Amino acid sequence: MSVRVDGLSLAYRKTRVLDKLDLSLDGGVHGLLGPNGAGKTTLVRVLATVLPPHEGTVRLLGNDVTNRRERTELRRRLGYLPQQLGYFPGFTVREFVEYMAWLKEVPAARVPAAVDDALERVDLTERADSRMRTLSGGMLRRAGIAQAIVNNPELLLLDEPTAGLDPEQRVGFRALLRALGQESTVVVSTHLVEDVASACSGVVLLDAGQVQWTGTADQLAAAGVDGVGDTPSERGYLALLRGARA
Amino acid sequence: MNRALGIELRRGVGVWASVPLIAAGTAIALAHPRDWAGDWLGWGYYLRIMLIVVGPLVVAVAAWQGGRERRRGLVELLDSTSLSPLRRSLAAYASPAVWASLAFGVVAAAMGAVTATHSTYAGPPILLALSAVAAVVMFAALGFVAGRLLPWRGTAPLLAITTYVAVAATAYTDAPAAYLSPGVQLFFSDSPARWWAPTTAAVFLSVAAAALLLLGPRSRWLSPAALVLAVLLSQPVIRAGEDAFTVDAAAEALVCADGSPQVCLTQRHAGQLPEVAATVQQVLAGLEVAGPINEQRFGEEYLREQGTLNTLYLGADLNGQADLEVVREDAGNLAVQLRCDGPVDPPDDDAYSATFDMAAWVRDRPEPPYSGVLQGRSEQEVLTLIKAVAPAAARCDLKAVQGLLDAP
Repeated sequence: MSVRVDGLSLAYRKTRVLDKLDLSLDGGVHGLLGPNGAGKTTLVRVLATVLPPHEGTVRLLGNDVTNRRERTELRRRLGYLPQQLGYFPGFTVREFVEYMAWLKEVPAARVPAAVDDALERVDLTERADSRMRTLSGGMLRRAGIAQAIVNNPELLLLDEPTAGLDPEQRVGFRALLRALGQESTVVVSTHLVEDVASACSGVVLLDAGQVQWTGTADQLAAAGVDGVGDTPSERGYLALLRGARA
Repeated sequence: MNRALGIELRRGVGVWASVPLIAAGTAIALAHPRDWAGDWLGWGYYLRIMLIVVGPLVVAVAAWQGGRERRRGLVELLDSTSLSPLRRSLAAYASPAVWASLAFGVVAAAMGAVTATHSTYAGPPILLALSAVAAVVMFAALGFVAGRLLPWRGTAPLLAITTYVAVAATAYTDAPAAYLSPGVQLFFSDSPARWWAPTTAAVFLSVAAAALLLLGPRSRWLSPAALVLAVLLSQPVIRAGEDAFTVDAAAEALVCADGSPQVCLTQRHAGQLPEVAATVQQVLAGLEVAGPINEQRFGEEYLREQGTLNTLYLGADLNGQADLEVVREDAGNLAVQLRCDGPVDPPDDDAYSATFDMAAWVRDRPEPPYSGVLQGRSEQEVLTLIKAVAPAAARCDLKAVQGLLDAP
């Protein structure tokens, strides 16, 4: 099991954001859906090992995130795109991705090829030598994805990865997601139901800090045949959400 | 590591900061060339003095680099990576540390090139220079760590001001520990003991290590050990204080020129002896029989073993060389001016000013007719008068001087 979370709780001061959450994921692309404040980003940050769990256990790729040695081992096999991507504006795209490869301890001999491959997969090869500060929002997002996949992660965590991408880029990104899902476990946090429907093999619906529903994209679409929403997936999402809150 | 280090060195703030650092260093060097251009020891000491301004600038640059990750919102992404925070920090620290050291080295080398054309004694005190570079490395470490811990935009300028005040304040304390600070004025004629520069460098590097070790969760416990090492290493410097500096007997040994009167300079300025001696002898030509001049030698103002030696103020031009105009003036003064320990009594004011007129005559050798106390006298009469007055003036015997002036 790539991701195994048991009884995970986490609070910001007195606000409980994750509440005894249980989750198991393995292989493929998994979409984390939920309304604002559901706890999606917090869950992804815990999975990215930047937030320690307050309660419960989190084992990723067989490693306990609270164990320092295991956490370090895990991080070498982890890719993470945070919701707000920070970057060094003076770095070129290639330098940024290369720098991240170094931080992820990719063997030095493999770095140039790994960087080229990551940039090619996000279609940024032509802008590889552009400074980060000159990139558009969509390009920055793609550079963020490139750094996340430069170490060929076994567990890839993407928080709102399609924000800022135009429709054409979004379609291309979905294809990339599907390809990544062939060889690793990908967790995508998004509020775009269509992204989940198109690219994800599994869906996790989060609300109030708990997993309310898990299933496949087809099951999501089938869950709301007669509900409100523009697409079957939206109707399914809203129906499941209302059902959970009822 | 090498590739990441290369990226940091190319893109970090250090590469840009090196330009103002070189400009600041150059400006400080050009402000007081007399202090360092004339001899190598002055060069070595002046590198330390430059740190009073360069140090705070380095602190500010490094603090800016240290706060970079938080300012750019990168902390979360970087924290998700496997590389140890200490190694990550060291790569980022390299940018201000390496570039600041290089900038300092460039200015030091340029100053050294000037000094090399003028100084004829010894060679550059490399250990003093390396100690100054170690201080730059320390300033960079302290600034970087402060920037990491206080990632506020105002941290860098505030630290620069605080560091400047702290370093400059050491100039006003006589605590022996202050000898670790560049703010302390060192005597340019005294050389440090051999152990002094390497020890101070080791102290600076230990402090830098103590600061940087704080940045690694696992290395943090080693920081106090590095600090203790710095304290231990600083003990000889603190205990010795001023005593670590002694007159370099070889440097202060006299080298004398032929001719009368005999002019001697220290070995440190021996290269300037021919022109200084020629200037003194030209000024004093014709006064060979004047008592104090005839019997004594001339030398530099700060000679410790003065004995019967007349001290001569060499001044310094912009290259730290003897200012021959100053030498001319001082030689004239030595010939005939009153040499009194205390203030001159008002009734003897005429005698006092008369010796000034005679000193000016010796220096300038004007054409007759003369003015003031020398009015109505021929050149030969003036020379006779000066030869008569000189011994009395040297004894500060004002009555005798006045008597000679009043004599028909």
